[in-house]
Amino acid sequence: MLSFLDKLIYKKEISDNRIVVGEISQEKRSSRFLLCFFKGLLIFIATYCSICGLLDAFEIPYAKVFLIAGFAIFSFFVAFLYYNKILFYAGYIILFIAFTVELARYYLPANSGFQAALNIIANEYSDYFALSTIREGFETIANRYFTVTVAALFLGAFTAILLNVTISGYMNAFETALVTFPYIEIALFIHKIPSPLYLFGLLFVYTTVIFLQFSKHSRMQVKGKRTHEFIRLKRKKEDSYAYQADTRIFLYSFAVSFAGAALFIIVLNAPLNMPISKIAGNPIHKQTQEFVKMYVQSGYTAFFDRYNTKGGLSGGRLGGVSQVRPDFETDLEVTFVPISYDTVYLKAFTGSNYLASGWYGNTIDFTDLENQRNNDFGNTAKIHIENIDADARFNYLPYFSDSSKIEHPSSSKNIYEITYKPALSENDYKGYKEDTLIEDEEYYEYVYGTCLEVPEALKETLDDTLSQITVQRKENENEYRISCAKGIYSYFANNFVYTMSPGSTPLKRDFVEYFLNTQKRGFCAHFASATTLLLREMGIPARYCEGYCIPASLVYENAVLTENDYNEWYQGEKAIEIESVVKVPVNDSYAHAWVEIYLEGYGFVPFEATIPSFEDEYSTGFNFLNINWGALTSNTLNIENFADNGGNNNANSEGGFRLGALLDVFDFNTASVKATLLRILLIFITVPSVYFLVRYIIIKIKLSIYKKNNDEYRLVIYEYSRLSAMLKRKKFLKKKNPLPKDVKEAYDLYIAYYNNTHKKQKEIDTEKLFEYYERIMYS
Amino acid sequence: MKINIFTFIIYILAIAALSAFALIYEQPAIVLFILMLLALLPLSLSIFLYANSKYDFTLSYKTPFVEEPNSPVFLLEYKNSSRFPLFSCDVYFTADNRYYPNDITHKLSIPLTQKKNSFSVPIESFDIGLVSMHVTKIVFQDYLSLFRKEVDITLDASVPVLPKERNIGDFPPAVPKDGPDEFTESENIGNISSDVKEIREYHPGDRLQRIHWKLSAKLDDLFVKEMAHTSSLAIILIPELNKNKIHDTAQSLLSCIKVMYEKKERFELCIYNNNATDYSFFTVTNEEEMIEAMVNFYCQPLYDGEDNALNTYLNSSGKIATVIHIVGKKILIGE
Repeated sequence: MLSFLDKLIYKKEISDNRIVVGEISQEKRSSRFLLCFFKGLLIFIATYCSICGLLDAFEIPYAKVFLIAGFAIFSFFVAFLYYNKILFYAGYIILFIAFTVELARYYLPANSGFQAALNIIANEYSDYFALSTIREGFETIANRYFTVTVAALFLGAFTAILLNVTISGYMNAFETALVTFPYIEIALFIHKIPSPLYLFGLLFVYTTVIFLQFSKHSRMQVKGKRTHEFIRLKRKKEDSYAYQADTRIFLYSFAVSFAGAALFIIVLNAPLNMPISKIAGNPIHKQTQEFVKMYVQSGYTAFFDRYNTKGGLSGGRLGGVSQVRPDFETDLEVTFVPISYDTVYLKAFTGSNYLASGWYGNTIDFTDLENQRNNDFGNTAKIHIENIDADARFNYLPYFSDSSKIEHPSSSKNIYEITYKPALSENDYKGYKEDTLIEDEEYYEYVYGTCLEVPEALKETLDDTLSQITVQRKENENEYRISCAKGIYSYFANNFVYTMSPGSTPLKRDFVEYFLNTQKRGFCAHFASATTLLLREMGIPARYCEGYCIPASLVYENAVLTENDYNEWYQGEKAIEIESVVKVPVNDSYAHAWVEIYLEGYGFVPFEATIPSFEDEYSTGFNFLNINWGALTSNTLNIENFADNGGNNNANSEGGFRLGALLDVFDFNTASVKATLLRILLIFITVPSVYFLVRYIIIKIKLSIYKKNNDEYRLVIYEYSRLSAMLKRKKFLKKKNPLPKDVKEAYDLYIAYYNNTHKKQKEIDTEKLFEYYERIMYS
Repeated sequence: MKINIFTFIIYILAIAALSAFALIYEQPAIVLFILMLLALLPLSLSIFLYANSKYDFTLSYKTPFVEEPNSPVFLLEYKNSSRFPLFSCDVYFTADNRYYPNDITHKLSIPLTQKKNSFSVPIESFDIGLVSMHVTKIVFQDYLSLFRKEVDITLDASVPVLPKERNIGDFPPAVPKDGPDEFTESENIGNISSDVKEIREYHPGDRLQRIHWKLSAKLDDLFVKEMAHTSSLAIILIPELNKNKIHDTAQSLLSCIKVMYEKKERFELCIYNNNATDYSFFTVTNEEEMIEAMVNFYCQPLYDGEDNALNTYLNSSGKIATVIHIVGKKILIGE
């Protein structure tokens, strides 16, 4: 059909220009087989040198021979797809199916190997930048030698496919470098130089591709008429014909590039290993290093946050970050006397009003009023705080302290001391106490008005959640309030998950609603916000707070004993063995959010709403191709048999190896498997559907333009093509390149057949129709 | 020699970008790539300067004429006398049919990696006529497409596209079959002598009238008489170059010529130039002469009239002979 249309176009050109240049040919033709072979060689060298160069630079173990063989097979396979049109289309389908199925089958080792390589690279980066923590990928299989090889194979196949496009399709040096150089740059960035062999290979490939690209005779098209020796490009005043690919150009380019690359590598190998300072010498390098550090510590999601999250306080903003990424730099240095195992809270921010995007302070500041509350639990303590890198907008004060009594011992605003009356435990403020402050009308309005406010839209969600929470009834109102908070805490502990990487809240969703209904995982801000609103919905005045917390574990692990006089710093009871004044460095990972519950007589007291963490905090969260392939394989393929079970600490092995299971890739037993298969099925259905829909729309638009322009010629061509395609489909037309008379004969046959088999007859004057067609087409 | 500004800027920018990258991120390994790019530039330029003048191009054709619907095929050939091959050059050419001039320039981009190679360029014409290919310029490119050298060149080749022969019957019309005896053969057109120049063996296609029956009977084999021409002129073919009937005229003319020279009739072709109101005469006894005559025919200007050539011929003091006037499909015979 296409050939026939080509002929028509050709005829039209002849009738327009009266002359047309036909199919140009060369006496000494290039062998397409050799061209594919040369391209395969280039793809192989580029793939091998980039991926193995990376593995080699970081000394990651892998099976070299296996990878070389695998890469060679992939590279030559994809290169030979350009041999002809049939191979191109059939080969790509086979490649896609094989790649998908094999990835599904070997997902576990591939993902594990990918994580292993990332872990090794991240460790090297961590050493280079002296990072305190890094994310660690979860390796399901211990045998890194095996898993890395499998992962590299898949990565190599993927790279080879891309390189086939850049080399066989476009022959573009920039794109080729774009696909391969990042692998090596991962090593070069921290001055890890891979073996010169890999650099030689890449230099060779880039130089060859540059020569080939500029020679203009190195591309091999396969689509349409482009398998011809010469590609024809038609312009307004100039027609150009370019010879597609010449074998000798490849040979000469190979020779020159080989000699050049070898010379450069031999002569310039020594300077490559020169020592270079780790400290960035310019702001761009410095900033890039910051980004790299951020990535190594927190992953790519760090780049999509709506505000900066280097740990520390968010100041009430919620939902804009996908994860908390502390830099573990000391923010505060706190000198005090630890008196119990309870966490010490240093409050900075108080959120009274909740909106979907965060917490906001109250318009009237009641700090002075609250300072008048004389809570005295019989203990007097002094605390000294030095703000090193915490948000300077806030003071960080312990509970039951009077903010008006802050003393600045030095001229610096960032260093202050305060004497306060700490409670030893929660029991100290459970009992009844007369509340005198609440008699203040405005304050009452604030506590029992503002601090009970819940957005109308959230009420349904909160009520649904509360219906699942059981609360122990207490006679004492204060105890009841604490009991309610504990009920909420228990509910979260049983049904929710603590994570520092919960993902950000979608822009149009409410932070708490999304957390309670959908997300069900989060960090302190999530739990504190939700608990506050749930308490309010239960009729208990509550507020959201942010600050730093000093758990007992931090004191035990990081505290430095000072020579200060204990008695000067603390008088009262204590429930801890230490009897010293300690100095505790508090880094940004101790920035925290919690809830304040209003207890009659005592005011707002802290309540820990955040459940403990049971998951690996710093998992990479970046899986190989990030699809739930594991669901496909976890039940069926027992890869652990490959693993060295005595090796890695996080290897997770069970059962033996079932050979028959290799075929049982698709097991429909679990919901996740079904979901994954459904997704794959959807992709298979959606992609072609979209393709055909777009194609249909384009044709319709074109036709409407032709109709509008009264372009009879193109309309007839379209009609004629459609008719011929239909006749071919229905097997009435069998010729490869039919002439109009053949189409007419076939159409006559078709009409006769149709009229024989249908009641409703078709009466078409084919003679006239084809006369019209021919007149238009050849006019 | 000229610089391809756009490519040159891209190349320099690439080096600059790589240098900036290497400097900003302190990457000695990238210096390798920069140096390679820098080294390629003089290497490419020096070989290009040496090699570009060593190429010799010629233009010819595959067959001296073609019969429609076949296309004439031109052969563009190059020879490289240097040791270094260039990778690419652009050959600019135009192609036209003399009857249908057009100004479209064609660019043929070819590799120059062989010592000698030729490219076949078929040019399909809408109609008969003299199809020509003119190479006007060759642009050599260096290995990185940064520099180019344009060489103005004139290479021409023409191939006539002849119409398909038409069956015009027994032409010129033969004498009645019961007519002459073997020695007094009467040709109905022209003055052919009855003197026998030689006797030879019969070849298929020889006219029956020329068979020497007596001798054939004696020797039991067929022999044919070759007659001597005594007249200087026998037949004049005058085709009209009417622009609306040129295809049919050419077809009729070619059919007449072919039939006549195959019969070894003596005739002359009178080709008229309407602009100069002058004639050219061609005697056709073989294929080469036929091609020459047809090329000349194709080169004459066309006009509207249907008897310009005939009238001019008759009004002139030209040769007196049997005139065959050809206009479109009509072949008119007159004294």
